[in-house]
Amino acid sequence: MYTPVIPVALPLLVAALLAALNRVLPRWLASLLAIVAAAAVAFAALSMVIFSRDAPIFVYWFGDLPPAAGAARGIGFVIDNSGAMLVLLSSLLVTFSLVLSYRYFDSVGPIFQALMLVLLAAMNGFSQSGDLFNLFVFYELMTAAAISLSVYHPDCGVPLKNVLHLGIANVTGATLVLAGIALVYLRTGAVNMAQAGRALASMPSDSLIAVAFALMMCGFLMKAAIAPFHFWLPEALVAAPAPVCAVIGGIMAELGIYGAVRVYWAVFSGVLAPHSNELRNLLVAFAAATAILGALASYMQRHLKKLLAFSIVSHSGVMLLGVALLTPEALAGASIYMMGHALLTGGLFLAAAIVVHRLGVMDELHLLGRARHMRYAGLLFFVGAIGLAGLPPFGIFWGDVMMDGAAHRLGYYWIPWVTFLAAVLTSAAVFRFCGRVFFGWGPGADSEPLPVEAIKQHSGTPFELYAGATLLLIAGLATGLAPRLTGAAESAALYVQNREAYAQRVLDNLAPFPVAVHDVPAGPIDILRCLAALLIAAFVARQTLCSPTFRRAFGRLRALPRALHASHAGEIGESIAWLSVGLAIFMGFAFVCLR
Amino acid sequence: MIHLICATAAFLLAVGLYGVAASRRPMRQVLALAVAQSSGCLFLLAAGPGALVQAMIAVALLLQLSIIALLLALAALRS
Repeated sequence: MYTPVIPVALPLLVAALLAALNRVLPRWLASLLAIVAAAAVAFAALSMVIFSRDAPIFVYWFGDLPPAAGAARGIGFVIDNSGAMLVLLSSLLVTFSLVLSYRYFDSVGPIFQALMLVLLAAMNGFSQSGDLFNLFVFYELMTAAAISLSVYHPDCGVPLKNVLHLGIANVTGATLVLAGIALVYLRTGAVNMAQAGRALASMPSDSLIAVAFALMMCGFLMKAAIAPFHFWLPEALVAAPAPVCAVIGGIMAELGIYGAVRVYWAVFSGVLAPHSNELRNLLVAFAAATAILGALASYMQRHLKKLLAFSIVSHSGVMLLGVALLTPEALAGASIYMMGHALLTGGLFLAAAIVVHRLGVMDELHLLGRARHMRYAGLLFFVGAIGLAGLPPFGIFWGDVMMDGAAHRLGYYWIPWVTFLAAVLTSAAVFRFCGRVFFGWGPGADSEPLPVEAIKQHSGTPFELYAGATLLLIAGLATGLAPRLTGAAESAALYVQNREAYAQRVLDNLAPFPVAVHDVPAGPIDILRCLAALLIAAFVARQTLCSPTFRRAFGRLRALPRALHASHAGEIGESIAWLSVGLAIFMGFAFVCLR
Repeated sequence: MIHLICATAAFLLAVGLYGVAASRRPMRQVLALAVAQSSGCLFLLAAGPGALVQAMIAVALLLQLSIIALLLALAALRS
């Protein structure tokens, strides 16, 4: 009955306890309390995932104030299958990160664990909120916790600029969301998503609604690191300590996309239905550009965390492609992709933590051959690279199959090539890192001075570091083996996209009609495509490292990414300027096409 | 009146974003961000004088001020 409250209330309570007893609690006890709380949330989330298969939308009203006459009177949590899955993912990532952080840091006090729990509560609240304003509150809370965690015990020596970048970008995103919410409230008099959506559906689209939609979408796309709103993510991840990176990198982008999904289908899908084709084209363009730019930028990086960060940007673009097609099958594919990608990325960041903890550097060229003895860490990166290529049974594979199928049916025949390119380049980047660092292939950077971010090296790697990365990668692999995965995801997507059924469940307490969808089978072409992506990625990585001719040829192709790199040197001002460009494009489009 | 408040809010958002983009000093960037942020509350103000709006403005202000204070502290450390 009270299960939906646990993922938010329990972490906040334990965080308050840890903060209050900061000076009294020994380090091991603070860690244990935090890990137990996060694990308990994971169990509660698992029960919600199982429960939401039979009762697809579950509503919890705080203060026992259910709606009256179709109008919300209180604050509610609305839990559907996708939201419950995100709560489970967040709690798993935080649990593993807390386990790892106990041995990763030489000294962190209970405040670190308290901040991690606040971040968990904020992410869970964001995933469950049925109310637009609470969505904003949890967005801001996530930002505050992420800023504090990034600056608490940074991995590199000069993090303040990067943390400011994270803070300013996310606060700007939250401001756009708040402005959009205010405009929706101005027009409908409601902040409950179901109520606002029902009210908007009964009126024609006009400038105010179009602007509100554009503002909110830009705010969420900022969180999702979609180009040109993505510049904050690589900067933030460079500064944040590896256990925090696993959480921010693993789930933040997914939450941004989930926010956009929730707000579009619950609030705007009715009023913007006549313009869905135009909207589809715009979102597909943003998503495809992100997938390609992120993949190219990822392959250009020699800093491990930036490489993984741009890989997130690229895959975030692929996920948005699934959402942008606006069909249940593609949305189901995107949600499976989110699950698989979050676990895989979390695992890769924890594997990166092993390298950083042991060798103290993240620069690929400086690490040349220095990790030859760390065979198990190499294996973890290798598995991660295979997962990024989308090989079965990783969850990414099933997501790709569903999204590509939906794209074909809508006539977007080029979309599978975009997802293929993203898979090849991001996987090749990790393969190249493996080849250089664990095998000693290719040239190094002997003549260059050591980067400023070099941190303390350790002589051994604690078991917890390996355990966290291994378990997350196994979980990413197991996602694709879940029974009735594609069918259940598609039926959940049907509920997400049915605005009226959602409104009836939330406001009128009417149970939605059960939907049964069969699993989507994968054909030999799908499997051959993944194998081709894997082989090409391995080939590109190997040739980049070992063939000077290939390196020269590839160097000429780097003109485009170099030009892109020159357009943004990591400054906060440039990031906000690009945000304004994206906002202007969205606003212009909204004015012309959505009213 | 609603149009006037909305226009002011949009102006503040634009000026704030321009301020963040144009400045290279962290302290100025955070202050410009605070200007941009204030537009959210102004947009809420345009929605009317109800108790719910007042509560939302109070919560939004509290959150925004806390984060701005945090960012100002970081900016001060950096400069």
